[in-house]
Amino acid sequence: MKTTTIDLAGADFTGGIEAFLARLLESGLVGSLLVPKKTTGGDNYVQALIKNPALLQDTDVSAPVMPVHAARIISNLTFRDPGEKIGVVVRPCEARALVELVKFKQITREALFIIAVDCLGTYEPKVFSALVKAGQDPAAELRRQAAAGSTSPTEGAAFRSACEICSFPGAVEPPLVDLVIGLWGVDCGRELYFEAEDETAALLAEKQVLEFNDRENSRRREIIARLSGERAESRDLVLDEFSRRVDSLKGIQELLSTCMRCHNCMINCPICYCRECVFRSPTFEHTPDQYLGWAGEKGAIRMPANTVMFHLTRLNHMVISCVGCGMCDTACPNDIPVMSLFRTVGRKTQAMMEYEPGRSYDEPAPATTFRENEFAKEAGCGH
Amino acid sequence: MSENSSNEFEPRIVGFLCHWCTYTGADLAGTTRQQYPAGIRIIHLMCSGAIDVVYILKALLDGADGVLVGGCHPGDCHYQTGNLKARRRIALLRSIMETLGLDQERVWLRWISASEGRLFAETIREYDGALKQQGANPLAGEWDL
Ligand code: SF4
Ligand code: SF4
Ligand code: FES
Repeated sequence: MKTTTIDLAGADFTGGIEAFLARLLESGLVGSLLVPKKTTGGDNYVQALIKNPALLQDTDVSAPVMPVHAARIISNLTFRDPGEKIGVVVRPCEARALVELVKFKQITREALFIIAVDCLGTYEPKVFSALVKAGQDPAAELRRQAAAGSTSPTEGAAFRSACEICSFPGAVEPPLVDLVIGLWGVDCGRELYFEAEDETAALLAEKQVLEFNDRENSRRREIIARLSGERAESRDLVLDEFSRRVDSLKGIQELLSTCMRCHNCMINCPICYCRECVFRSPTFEHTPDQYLGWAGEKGAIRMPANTVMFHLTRLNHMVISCVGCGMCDTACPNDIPVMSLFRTVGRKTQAMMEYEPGRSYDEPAPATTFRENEFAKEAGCGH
Repeated sequence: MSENSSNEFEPRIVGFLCHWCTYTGADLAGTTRQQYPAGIRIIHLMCSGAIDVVYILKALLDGADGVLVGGCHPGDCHYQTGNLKARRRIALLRSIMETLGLDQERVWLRWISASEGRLFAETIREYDGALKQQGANPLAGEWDL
């Protein structure tokens, strides 16, 4: 592994990163870049697919907001080989979902130059927007805090609940990704910090994109380890408590009381990749007499029908790969804690199948594999 | 569904059976006049590996008392390993049901070959007995699902 700490020499953080990204684009190592860029309105960052280096202006890889999950966009761009390398900037939950989508053949790894970045926490888009409109610069503020080893939201605001219990504050590491931009423990007002495998580092140096001077930042590693431990603890507390909320039919009914089955949670989930979800297919286009028949059987049925079934099915189909990004929470118009439900169920099933989503490209997705002798009791096969 | 004269609870079982083994085994149970409870409704699949949990969940949420998925013994699946993938899927489903306080014993997976008509009948009797002890599926009375 090669490391480098680059003196900004008077430039600011975003300017320094923009210059690096421009060199990457101009070097021809990538033909385009997917980076968070400030919207024209100024109160949000969206993914921008950039070809012209001049339009790297107003991009910020540390923007603490994610209105859309990058892995979804990357899947749109590379479900078949796009014919050129695309450089993408991904935070930890985006990188881990990306790994899952590579396994599901929804992303072409070879078409990507993956730049992983530390995550300092994110705000809900509406919260972020309000902070900007109140004159704040949330990204700069969090970078300042991160240099000292921990971040907390601006007074009166909160991070997304997924971020509060996320035990992956550090960028996903090579060889899963190609390059790391470090923020924790880095004095981003003065310097930039990168890590890469030897081969990538040599290539970047040769193309004059980035010099590797072996100035390692060991504080960064310590900070990430500490934060990861603390967050894992609060995750366990939160999920233990939540699991008691959903350990009965009544609990599930209460949780989903305000669900209108709009499918927003599914549409925004990076792992739900099916082009035609069964719930939006003819299988669930029922005829009037079918509805009336079910209502007749039970005396009454909730309409739209199949709300609990929608969530139970989605759990079965994808929870093993749930990365806990919380896009489902962000997307739900009625503030149903979908992420907590999926993480509560996910931690048990992931442990059962000894699987950690996003950990490796080589480990097969549990639904696609099996062992000769396993799970007889769990599957209800008798003895 | 008709109830018998004593008004005793008769479990309703939905069986998703693989064509090559368990479905043929069920057929054999019939032609060799094996006795088993009448409360089973059979759905014919080409392979137990063709089962999607959405159909199991639909049966349970609509009020079936039990779901039995039947396939070929490991090693005998006509599509090589459909049954072993089904086993993972059902293990996952039952684990999720357990976490959410739903009765996982309402889903069973069994390997029954084409020649095991007797085992098919025994299995249905065993499941029927177990479900009688558990009682009717509480989801049958729930409108708000
Ligand atoms: S986004 Fe919310 S309301 Fe819509 S289907 Fe998902 S849980 Fe239900
Ligand atoms: S279920 Fe929710 S938390 Fe899990 S991967 Fe999908 S959007 Fe992210
Ligand atoms: S063919 Fe019978 S389980 Fe696959």
